[in-house]
Amino acid sequence: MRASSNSYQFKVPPFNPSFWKESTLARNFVIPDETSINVYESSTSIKKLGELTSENEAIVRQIKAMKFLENNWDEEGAQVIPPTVIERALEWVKQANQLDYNIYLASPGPNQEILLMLQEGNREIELLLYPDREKYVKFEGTDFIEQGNLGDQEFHRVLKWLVS
Amino acid sequence: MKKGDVIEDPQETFYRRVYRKDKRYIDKHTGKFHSRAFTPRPKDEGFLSVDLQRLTTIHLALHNDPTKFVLATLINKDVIALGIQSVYDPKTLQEDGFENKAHCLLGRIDREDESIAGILARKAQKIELD
Repeated sequence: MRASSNSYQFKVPPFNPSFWKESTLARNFVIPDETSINVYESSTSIKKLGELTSENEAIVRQIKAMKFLENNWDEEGAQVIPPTVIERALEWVKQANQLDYNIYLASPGPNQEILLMLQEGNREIELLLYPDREKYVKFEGTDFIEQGNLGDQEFHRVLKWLVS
Repeated sequence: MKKGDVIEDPQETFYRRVYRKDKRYIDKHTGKFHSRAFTPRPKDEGFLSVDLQRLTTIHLALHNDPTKFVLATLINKDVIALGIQSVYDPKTLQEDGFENKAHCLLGRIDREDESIAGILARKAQKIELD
């Protein structure tokens, strides 16, 4: 789901990389594509990096709680979720948040994996994070569309598909 | 029907037992299953454990514990459409330590193929006894 905007508008000069310097502004803030002309003339919308939407905050709490799952947590033989998988899941949530997307669902899986799901209308993306591999799967309604290995480029591409 | 037989009738229906505590395998927004409910365990070696509906009852398939489990129903035509097989695999007290005349295996599911679990989740219907 596309995150509701959590950006703020401040009275600051228009974004000018040579003035602000990449190291001071762009490193600490996200500069959206659009600038607002409604607040103040020459204002620029900025969003502090790392500030999660309430939806993504809830997902982060759910993921962090997965470290307390013990072997056989589903009474059918499910294995513990390794700390490295939890860390990776948190990284993907942060990345989705930075791109203004909410994670729709987070769930542990029986084989040490974490499922993260994104949704927009009847389109869904499943991210499957295992200790040794990361995959994505696209669905439209009940129809399977595509699957593949997950990386930064693929993530941007599937997010684009989600809202196209 | 004997152990190892492939079930070819597309109208046959299976029960998949799903852990329901904390709704871990269920989408809390919609109440529907998600793909992790249809992922084989490491011990299952790529096969999904189910019960043939006509050889069991809802209560038996739930292990008589509806507070802990919920059932998903799957139709064989959806299994066949995925290019996997439904194989009769009854369990006996002598060989397995427990008896389940309805037990079947769906597979084999390649560990790299994440589509099948997701498709089954989206096709499955839920039966829960409250």
